[in-house]
Amino acid sequence: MFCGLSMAGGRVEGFDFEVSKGRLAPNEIIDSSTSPPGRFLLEVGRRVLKAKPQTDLVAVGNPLLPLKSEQIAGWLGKGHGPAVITDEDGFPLVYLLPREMFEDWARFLTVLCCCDGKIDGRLLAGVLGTAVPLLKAAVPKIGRYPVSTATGWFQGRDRQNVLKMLALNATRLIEEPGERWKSLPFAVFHPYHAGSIVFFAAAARKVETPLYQQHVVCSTYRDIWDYAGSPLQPVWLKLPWLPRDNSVGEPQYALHSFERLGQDVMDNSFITFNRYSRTSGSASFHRIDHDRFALGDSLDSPEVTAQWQAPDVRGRCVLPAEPLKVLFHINGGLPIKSYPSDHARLLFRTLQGLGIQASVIGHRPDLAGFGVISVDAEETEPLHKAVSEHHIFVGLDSFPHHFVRNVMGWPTIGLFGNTLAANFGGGWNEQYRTLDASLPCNPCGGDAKCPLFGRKECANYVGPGPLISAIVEMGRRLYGFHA
Amino acid sequence: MGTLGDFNLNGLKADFGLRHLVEVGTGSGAAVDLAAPLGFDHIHSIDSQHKLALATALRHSARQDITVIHARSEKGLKEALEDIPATAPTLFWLDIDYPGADARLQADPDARLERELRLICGLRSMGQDVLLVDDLSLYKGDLAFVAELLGATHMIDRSPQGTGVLIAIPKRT
Repeated sequence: MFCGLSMAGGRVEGFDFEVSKGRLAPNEIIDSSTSPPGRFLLEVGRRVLKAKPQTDLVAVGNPLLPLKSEQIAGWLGKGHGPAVITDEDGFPLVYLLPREMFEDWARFLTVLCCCDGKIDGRLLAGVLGTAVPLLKAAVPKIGRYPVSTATGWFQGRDRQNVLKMLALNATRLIEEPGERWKSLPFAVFHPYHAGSIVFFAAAARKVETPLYQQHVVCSTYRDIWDYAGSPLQPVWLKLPWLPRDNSVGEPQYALHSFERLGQDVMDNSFITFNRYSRTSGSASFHRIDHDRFALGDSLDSPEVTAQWQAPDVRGRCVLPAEPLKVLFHINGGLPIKSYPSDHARLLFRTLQGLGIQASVIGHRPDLAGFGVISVDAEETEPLHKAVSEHHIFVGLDSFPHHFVRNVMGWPTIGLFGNTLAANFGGGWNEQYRTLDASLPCNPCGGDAKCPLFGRKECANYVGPGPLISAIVEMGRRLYGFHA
Repeated sequence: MGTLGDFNLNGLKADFGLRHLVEVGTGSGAAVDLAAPLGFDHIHSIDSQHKLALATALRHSARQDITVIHARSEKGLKEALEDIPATAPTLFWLDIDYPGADARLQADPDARLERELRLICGLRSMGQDVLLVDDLSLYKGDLAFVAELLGATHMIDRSPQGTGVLIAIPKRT
């Protein structure tokens, strides 16, 4: 929950907001896994100013704390100017900020660490050019955050240290003599995985005036970047991507990354840690919308979300409808992330019988008996070429699917097992549909095996029947194919 | 399987004025660790096994002059060679059979070596570079392409040490 107060001419009015589960009602703020805490602080301020345009001073409860407006109103004391109200240890509880902070200096709010009042007070003072005192409220000391919660939050001390480190770096730049800091770019630190690059690029294309100008990206994704069409400038991080098995934590990886980026980058940009506090699979929104919010869009109604809107790119195969050619990506690296083998054999045998030409990304000699062609399309350029030579793409919740869907706009059927179609699919229309078995265990988040039965394969993938029906139907609608 | 430590790296560096090292097959990172203190302008190491590449990369993350690339060898070579002036003397340490070699390509390491070498020669003016190719005894095909690509500019030799090494050094003018 988030909260803020409008303070104008001696009047104080409270506003409370909830984390949206999908409705995006006026008192709800989108659940974004790629936004730093300061982005939520900015959003609360914007909403308060929109509701009360005459506001002089906005008080915003720390977005990392479960606070209500009534509660923070009791801590204001006699503060009438910018201030940070903290607990006895200096943990920030409330930020009192003038409207110019939200209107003229909004992007600097995204580098607040929200876990150290002293650092944030210095940062705000530097931006506003005025003292921002720390005022201690009579509240018990804030306890230690759980490293993670069952509902998908993770916000342990190491993560907070990354936020502090970046806020301190920003403060250092702001406190340099002169006004160079006013023209330095803001950079999203979200370098990790191929799909993330596609989603962030798609989001950035939709945001008119992003809070950021740069995006820190692993340099091995250059080819994806070239296709993805992001309006942001890349800052190449020459490190292999973050492993998915948690063998290296995100905070540790971030600190190595800042070392690797080097002093020149740290001296010439404001960087924010855009994977702070939320597992992306827990929220109800498409990842593109997580990223749009991070980049500055308020996304205050469901009609503007990626699940409702048609994609901004759309392509289609120019080959004759017959034979219908379908390209599959069914190997997710681990059995739990791959389309089950028994399903696959039955699927391809049936497709062969229907005269549908199937190709599979990767080396699959075991499927050659069903007429399946193995295609080497693990890099972006050959993937682009292979997709162009097929009518329909069928893929797992993985990079090829997200690339084909969001960069090429090709007719796609998404297969979802242990993840949610709403998070990574969405925007359904005649060129895009998703399939899963709608089991109550989804999304389980299982990385290595089914957490319920210990099986290696995921039972939530649909069987061959619904998938073949979907392929034939899409082929008929888009290409006039008749089985 | 040989290691870069089998060679007098400092001597090679001095004799040929080598300023860059490009390795295909990071493995445990032993070659990077060995070369790190020797004053190369830049060391690039490439491995298609993510865990291997990442471990060495994180170990050297503070070194701006060491880049570990997680990629298939050809993609990694392209990325590395973008950073290296085409005429800067460079030591290439290639491997027929490194652990991170792509499983599909393992079945055909000969083709991979030829592709790597053609890529390198296509992107560089080779006269100043030194090439060492490890595990030569595992190579089953015809090495005629080595002479085709390097014969005019390099002296090509085979060393029996370890599992065999192909050595190509610039011809002295």
